[in-house]
Amino acid sequence: MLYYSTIGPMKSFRPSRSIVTVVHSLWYLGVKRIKSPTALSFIRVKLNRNYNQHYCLHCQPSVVIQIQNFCTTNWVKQNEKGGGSTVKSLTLREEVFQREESRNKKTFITALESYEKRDRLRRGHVEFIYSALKFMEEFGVHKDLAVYKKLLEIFPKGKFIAKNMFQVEFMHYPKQQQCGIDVLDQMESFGVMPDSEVKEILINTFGKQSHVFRKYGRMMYWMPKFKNITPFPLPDPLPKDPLELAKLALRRISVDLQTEISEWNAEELEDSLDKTWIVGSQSPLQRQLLEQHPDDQAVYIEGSFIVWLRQMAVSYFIMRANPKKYPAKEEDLDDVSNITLTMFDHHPESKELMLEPSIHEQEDGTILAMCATGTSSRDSLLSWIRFLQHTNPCLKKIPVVFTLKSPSKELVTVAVNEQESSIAESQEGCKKIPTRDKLSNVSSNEDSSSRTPSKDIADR
Amino acid sequence: MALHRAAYSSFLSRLAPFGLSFSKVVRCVSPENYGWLQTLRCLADSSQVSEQLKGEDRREALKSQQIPKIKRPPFAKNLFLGIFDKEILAYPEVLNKEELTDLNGMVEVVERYFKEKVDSKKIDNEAVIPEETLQGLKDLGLFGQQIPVEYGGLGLNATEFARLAEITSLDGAIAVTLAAHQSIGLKGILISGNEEQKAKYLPKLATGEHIAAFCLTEPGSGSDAASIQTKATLSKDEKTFYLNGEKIWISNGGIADIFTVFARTEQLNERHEKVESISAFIVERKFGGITSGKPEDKMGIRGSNTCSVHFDNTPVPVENMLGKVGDGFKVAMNILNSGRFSMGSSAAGFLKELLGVTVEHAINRVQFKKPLAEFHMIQEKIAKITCSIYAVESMAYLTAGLLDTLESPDCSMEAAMVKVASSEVAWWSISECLQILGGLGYMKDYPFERYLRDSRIMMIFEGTNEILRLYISLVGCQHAGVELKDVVRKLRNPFMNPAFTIQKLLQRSRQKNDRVKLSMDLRGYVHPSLAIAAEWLEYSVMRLQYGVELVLARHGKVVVDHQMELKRLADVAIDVYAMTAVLARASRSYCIGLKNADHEVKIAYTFCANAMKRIRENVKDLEEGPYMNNDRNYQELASTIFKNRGYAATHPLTRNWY
Repeated sequence: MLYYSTIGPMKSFRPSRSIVTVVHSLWYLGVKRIKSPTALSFIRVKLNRNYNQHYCLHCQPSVVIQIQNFCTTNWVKQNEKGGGSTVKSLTLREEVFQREESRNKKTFITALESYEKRDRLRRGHVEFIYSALKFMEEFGVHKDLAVYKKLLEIFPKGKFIAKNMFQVEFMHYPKQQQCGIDVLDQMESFGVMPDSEVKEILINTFGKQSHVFRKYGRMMYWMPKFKNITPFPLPDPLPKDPLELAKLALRRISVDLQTEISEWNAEELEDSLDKTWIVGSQSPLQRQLLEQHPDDQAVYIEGSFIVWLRQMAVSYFIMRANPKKYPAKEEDLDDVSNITLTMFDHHPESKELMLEPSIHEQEDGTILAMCATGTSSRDSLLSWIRFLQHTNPCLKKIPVVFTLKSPSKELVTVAVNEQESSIAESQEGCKKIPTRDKLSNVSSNEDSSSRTPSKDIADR
Repeated sequence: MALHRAAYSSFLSRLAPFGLSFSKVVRCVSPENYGWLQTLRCLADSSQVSEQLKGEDRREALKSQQIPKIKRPPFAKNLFLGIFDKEILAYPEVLNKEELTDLNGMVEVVERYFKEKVDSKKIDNEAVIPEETLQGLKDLGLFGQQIPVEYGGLGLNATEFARLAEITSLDGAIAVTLAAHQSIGLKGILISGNEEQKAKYLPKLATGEHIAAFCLTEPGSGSDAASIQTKATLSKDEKTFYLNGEKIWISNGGIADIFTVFARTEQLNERHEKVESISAFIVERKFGGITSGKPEDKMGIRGSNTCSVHFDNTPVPVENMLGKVGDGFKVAMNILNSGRFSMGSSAAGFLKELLGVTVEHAINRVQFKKPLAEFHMIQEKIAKITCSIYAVESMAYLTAGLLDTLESPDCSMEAAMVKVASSEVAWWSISECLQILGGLGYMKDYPFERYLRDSRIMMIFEGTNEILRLYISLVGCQHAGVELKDVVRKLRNPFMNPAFTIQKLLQRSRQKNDRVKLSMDLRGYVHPSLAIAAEWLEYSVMRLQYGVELVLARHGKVVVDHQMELKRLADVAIDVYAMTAVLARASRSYCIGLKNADHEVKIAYTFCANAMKRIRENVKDLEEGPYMNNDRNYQELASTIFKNRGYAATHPLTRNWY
């Protein structure tokens, strides 16, 4: 898991020697003259996952020394004093969190405080922190920087700071450092960026020359870089209201800059069955394309398709016309004897000239409008068409064909449940929201539960 | 504050993977070099104190706490010597977390006020700012932005002041009213006033109960401030001065209660001869003998009050003198120099607003079946405007950062550069925005024509751009002259110093061929993705130094009279400073991963490429001399025209014979 050496593979190993030998060898090699940072590059430390340390010193190509269980002695002794193995104490610590009835930030912090209060000497704090890490997601505090700080504050200050080069190189208090690294690692995997206060805490706990601090340094190098790197930024946190989500989704998938997002309510229509909201997107250009659409050819309503907004899925529908056939035109670009001035030509409609197809006219069809509705039902789509007729009168004449492959009802657009945790959804949602092909094969009753992943998570 | 440190250390560590750069950056910020890091460290230490305090107390403590400032050589002046202070490439981070949060809160409130309560069109039409609008501004505390907290002001530092100026500039008339009040009107009391004067006047000025004005310009004395004629005569009991004279174009002249007036005083020198010098006075309207003319009808900033002010035997007690007798000119220059830097952020403020409106139009306006946004010429305009805004914004905040972090900062040249650049960028950019809107932009329904009229004054007031260009290049040449004394003497007497001349010729061969040797290694001080732009900057610095040497060697001391060459030097220096600011900012943004940082890098490249092109052209002109670069032609043409008292060419329809 942890592998600090990045320069190259170990050259060779020799059976274990005592630390005295190591020190002697180093002296012999003149390491005393080498200042700590330089020594770092000479000595590579490898640490495997289960806290069984194998420290390999690679001093010079000819001398390679391996030491076992040198630095570990400290914490092994401590552990024995405390009585009980790591596993056992971990289960004990977990009870603190399991006892809490409601799961939220407040109770989580109460649990942390109860530990701090009860054990002034902070015995078994590593186990406690590990169990806390395990429960963070359940308490919904896994993205909360303040809670991570609180967690890091549990480490006693001062004791773990390395005082000399050897302590630095041999990972002073490895178990504690590894625990600190794991806290930071969990922060990283949930995208929680540390701040300077975390830095102060780490310096006061482990010192600047610690692996934990190096981990922090790496995080502070990369995480700000990734913070704003997405080309599709979304508000954080995402709005809970499905209507707002639908607007965001449509805004994201509308490539035309002129796109107007409009919002309707089906209640305004007398003969609508589903009284729900409808959000539609259409640009003036699309309106124009619809205007030009021949009356005798149908436009198709297709869907539902899915667009993801972080862990939220929004299904949307499109209005599509068959692709326009543009005549393949041979043009000799090398001939400059007759450059046509489109802008100043009195007959721009001349047959020789052809306007570049707009962004809506794709090979597989022309997209004329898009929408998302509260129920995603066929009736709500019908209402959408009604509303569209206000701005596109030609729709009254053009036949509209519904080619929905999915059942009309019960298709949940957006999982909206107050209690759902977005992470749970990210894991479950991907699997459970079926593709439209699959949807067409299952009956609506059966898969209604499977399509709302949030529900069964909440039930669990 | 510790945040800065983290950002900075991460900035350093970010460069680590690029091997070479790391050691350089460390070198650049090492404490021995008085780096930013030192400031940051000082800031971090003060944070420990601040953590114990709460809310307002903390803010006040932070303000009153004298954060140790660092001492650094003057940046812009040294550019003329080819010395580049590389630490400046670490763009300053002045504000700590609390200050930034406070500032953002303030900005939000002021912005809302300007959007909701200020009707710029009405102000422009009626040529007056309504009383309730002014009262609202006073209530927001905007009349005492830089006045220390203990005198009831907001106590903003230069950076915070610049940020608020972005918003207050949304209305030209209000911006000028505020600027006349606090950037120049009361600045004298702030900079040169003694404790009693501060305690007496600042509290009322901070609340806006009293409005201040700055009286320097006279009918016979515009840019030439030393030639003022207003007289202050000391009474026989030596307790009162009597002011007599006329001041014109005084912003806030009709509404001000406190005037900073500059007048000639007579005193005896050590040989008991009478000498005249300029002194500055704080004059209250209630002293009597002050009459204001009627408000001028102006092209832009129509809502601001500009009028003439007459002083007729106005009695001013001696304790109201700012500084000592004869300090007036220095006081005036200090005031003007310290007020200029915020014009950069003001320009950036309203330009960003206008760019938004323009972009909206370009997206929605369809011509030839395509939105304007798809036309390349429009894209070019938008991109160029963006680069310009970015440049002045970066320059303004870099200068503000220098003012805030340096000990006794010598930034008058930087401030002048910001003023020249921003006023010209503003005029040109608004004009381009208007052009994109075409006929619509010309209509009064849109704000463009108003902004265009308003912004025109920026090139004129607080020192015309011509004067400031001279100021930049002359101060630069003066600074360089001290160091280059011997070199120039030898260059001007080549036959007396043959060995030196030949050596110099060899040294210059690369410069002559426009192939400058780069040895400063500026690329090591920015993010590697900006390395090439950093090399362009280095080239530009070397070229500026070459230009200075050329001009000094060619003209010696009379360089003062060769304004066209001085103007070129000033333009080069402004471009170099702009490139520096842009690179430093883009590098910082990219390192700490701000939103759209890649866009900033692209802006930096675009701007630097254009700036380098201009610099190359300007230095080439300097090199070629007046007969090749048209300077001589300009002079001769102008003299003919003056001789003919106007356009001298004969009409094209004229025939000499039939």
